[in-house]
Amino acid sequence: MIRMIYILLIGILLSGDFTYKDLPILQSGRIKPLDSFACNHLLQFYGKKQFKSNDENFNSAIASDWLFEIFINPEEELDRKIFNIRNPEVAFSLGLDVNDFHKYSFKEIIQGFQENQDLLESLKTKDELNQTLVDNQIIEVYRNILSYDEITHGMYCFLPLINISNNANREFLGVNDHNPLSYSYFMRNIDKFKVLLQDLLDTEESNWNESHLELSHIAIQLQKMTQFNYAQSLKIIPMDNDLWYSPWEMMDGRPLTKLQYDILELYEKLIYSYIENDINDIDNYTNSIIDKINNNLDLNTSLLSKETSYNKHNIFLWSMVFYLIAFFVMGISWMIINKYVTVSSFVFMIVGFLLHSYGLISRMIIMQRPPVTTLYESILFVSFILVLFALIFEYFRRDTLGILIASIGGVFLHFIGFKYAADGDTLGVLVAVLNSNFWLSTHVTTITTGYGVSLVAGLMAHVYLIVCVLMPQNKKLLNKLFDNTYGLTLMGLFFTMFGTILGGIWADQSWGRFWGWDPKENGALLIVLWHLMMLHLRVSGLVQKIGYAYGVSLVNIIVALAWFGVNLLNVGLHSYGFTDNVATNLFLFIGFEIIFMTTMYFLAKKRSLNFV
Amino acid sequence: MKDYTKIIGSPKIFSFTVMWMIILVFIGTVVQKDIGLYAAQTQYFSSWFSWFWFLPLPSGKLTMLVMFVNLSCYFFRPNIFSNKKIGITTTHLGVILMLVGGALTSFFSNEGSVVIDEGKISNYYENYYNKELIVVNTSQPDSDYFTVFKSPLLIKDKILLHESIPFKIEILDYFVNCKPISRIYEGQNELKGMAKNFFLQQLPIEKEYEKNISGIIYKLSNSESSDGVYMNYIGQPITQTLHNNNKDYMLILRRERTYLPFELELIDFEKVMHPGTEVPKSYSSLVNLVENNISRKVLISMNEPLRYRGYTFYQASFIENGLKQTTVLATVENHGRLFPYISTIIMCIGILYHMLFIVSKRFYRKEN
Repeated sequence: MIRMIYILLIGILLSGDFTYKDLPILQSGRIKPLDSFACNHLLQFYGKKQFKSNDENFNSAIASDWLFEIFINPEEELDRKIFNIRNPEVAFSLGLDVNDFHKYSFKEIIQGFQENQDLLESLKTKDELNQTLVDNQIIEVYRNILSYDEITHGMYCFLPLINISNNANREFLGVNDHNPLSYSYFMRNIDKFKVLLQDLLDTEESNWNESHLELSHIAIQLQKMTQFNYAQSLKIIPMDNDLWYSPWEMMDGRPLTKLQYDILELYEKLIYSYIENDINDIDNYTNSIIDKINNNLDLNTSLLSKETSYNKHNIFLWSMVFYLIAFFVMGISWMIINKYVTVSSFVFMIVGFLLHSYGLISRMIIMQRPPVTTLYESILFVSFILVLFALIFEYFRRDTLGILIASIGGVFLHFIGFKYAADGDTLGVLVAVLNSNFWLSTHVTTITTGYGVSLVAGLMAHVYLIVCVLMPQNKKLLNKLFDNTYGLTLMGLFFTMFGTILGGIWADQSWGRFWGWDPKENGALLIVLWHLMMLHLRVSGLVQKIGYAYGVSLVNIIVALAWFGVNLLNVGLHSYGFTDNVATNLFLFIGFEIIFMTTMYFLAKKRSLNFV
Repeated sequence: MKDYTKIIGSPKIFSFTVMWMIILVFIGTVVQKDIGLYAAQTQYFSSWFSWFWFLPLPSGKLTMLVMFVNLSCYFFRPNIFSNKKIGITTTHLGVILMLVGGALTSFFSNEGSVVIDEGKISNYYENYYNKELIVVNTSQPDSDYFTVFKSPLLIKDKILLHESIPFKIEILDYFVNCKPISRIYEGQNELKGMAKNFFLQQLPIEKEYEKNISGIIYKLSNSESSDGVYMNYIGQPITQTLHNNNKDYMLILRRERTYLPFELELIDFEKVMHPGTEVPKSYSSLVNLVENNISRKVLISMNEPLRYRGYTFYQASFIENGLKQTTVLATVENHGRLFPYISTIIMCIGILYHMLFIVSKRFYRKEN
């Protein structure tokens, strides 16, 4: 715990100094640290954000180190078993040995494709609608292979592979030390190099001296290296704020700006010191690069290190761990009634909650936008709201009920969130219609708060019914629980209704209709109507307390449908395996809830009759 | 009177109405996967009745009317302005206003889209769904005379007559969605114009209703020399012309147009992508708003519409064809658009008051 608090403080205070992980790169429409680039690609290829190795040739590595490793050892790295192929059918059709780790190297896979060339051909001609899951996965493997190849050779032009020993040549080019030079070095100094080459062309081969001989070798070497100039996916050299180029694009003889010239030079030195494993120099060059970019472009570079630190700490894993601990400590406190145990469970909950908030705030700062913009972020935020409200209850009630609801809800939602995070980059840019901070922060935040509060209300109703069954004689507790459920329903109604209407107003402002009965809108409306129905059923006396709690407990199902269910309605458009999974889990959840709560309802009714 | 309002305004009725509404919304959402949004909306929400298998049951409009009547009766109750009830009363007032606004919008609003090429001018918007058949008399040198038959008239076997046109149009067939297919054999003598070489094949209605290509087949009679069977469809490349009694006519089937009291000229359409990707970051249209020969420049962009004289223009979409860019501005004429804003504020005040001052008291009472 102390370690986490320490990390929190460090994260906030120390954001000035950069490491090589923070080097800026343009990817998917936004400038991010190289570390995020590495994490996203390792996740895409390997399925995890960290490489763990059983192979003695390759050490376990964090994403950034893996990335630099493939930069400096492109050929050796082709043997690293980095590609995750889970589906044995895919592995089999590529002629790969099906192993237990499901991991394969670039070489193995490329060989598989070469031996089964008609496989790719037939897939290319196949209609997109007719493609099966296996087809899609094979295409994905192929894309991964191509993208890996491009990344591997992206920095090839910075590798010091060319030795230059002739003194005359060295003097002319202005080389002071004996270090080998890179492709990029020659391209940067193309004007001087051209003179030497011209001299080489003008001299007859029989009259070549040592300098000429070396130059001809270098020319051939450079020519060979040019074969990798297709590797243009690393956009690390800035032109202006929005236009960044890859190193190889800089090598095509175009005029370089002062900034680009300097950055190329710094990258050459950086890569050299990485190979030499000179940690001080690596950091110095990194800081010079970022300084240069900072001075020339309008870019908030401090966000780079924030994002790297966000990637590193996996904050939401820790918040979940604390929620779990709180849950178990609470369990203990029920068995041995001890004030300190109860308090410590509350403290664990609070620490988890602080981490949770810290993670959310970090994401907001990094992306410079409100907390909820994607489905993944909505999960994080709904669980945040749920825990917040449950903790407020706990603060007032001090009977561990709040901890129970907060920990169960929090852990459950965290798990769903991890599922979505494993899907890829969770910090993506937004399409035009959503790109409006004002409406994102008002409508989306309100409606997700509504989801969260409704879930708390639903869970509270669960507790009410369970207490009805287990302790029907405890009238005081039951009354209190009922009042809380009732109040939460009103609050849930307030947030969902206000959020839905705000959504309507956004729609009215943006494309001219307040309401269009589309699935997402209808989903939110369903929650509002459900709350309205329950409140009026209670007011009119059509249902009693137990019936009311039963109805409110089912609001969880409505929230799940509105939240995840509506996304299933366009299953036809992107029917990947994952969506099917969501559908199955959703129906399992709904089935379980209905059966469990209905049983609880009838049991509670029976028990309460005995006690009247 | 009191008794009736008590019965009609009972929260029991409201509970059941909401329950029915929940079922409607649920079905109306799920079926969108198969029949599309427009069809689901017409069937379950904007009509009075809808068929559920063989039962005609109330659809959205009727359900909301019942809600409205039921809620209105709330105001005949006693003591609704007492401190305990005032929050709830305010909320109910807000809901009623919202339903009124919804009704106004559903009865009186009109929507469509203005489509303008770069450098071109437009002074009308086209309805997304409705079509119209127009007969244009182009004989006068200085003006054209339009006769317009709107969509309710475009039904099979309907006969269209108007004093301004000298011939009779009998609709032989009308398709919501169809495509022209060329004839293998040249048709009978009575086939004229495009119908000589093509016929229309009816297609199932598209899920996205705007994508339907409507078509019409009709018989002209009582004309001097142009009697015969003709066909038209939306977006037909060659306009159907007639020469009759020394007068020239054009017959066109098109999306229903509503004319604006001003003109819009597209100066420039711009789209910005997120750097290095194909993900759009923003769209905008720079237009000249021309009225009585006075023009001013306006920038319409995503989330920043142009509001003018009761019309609102939104950047909805665009068409790119080589170098030519075309903007699509969604256009809405809505007189009920202030209602949701007002009713939201009223509802929120009501619920907040009730939560903060009434419900919270219950907590304290129990605590002590």
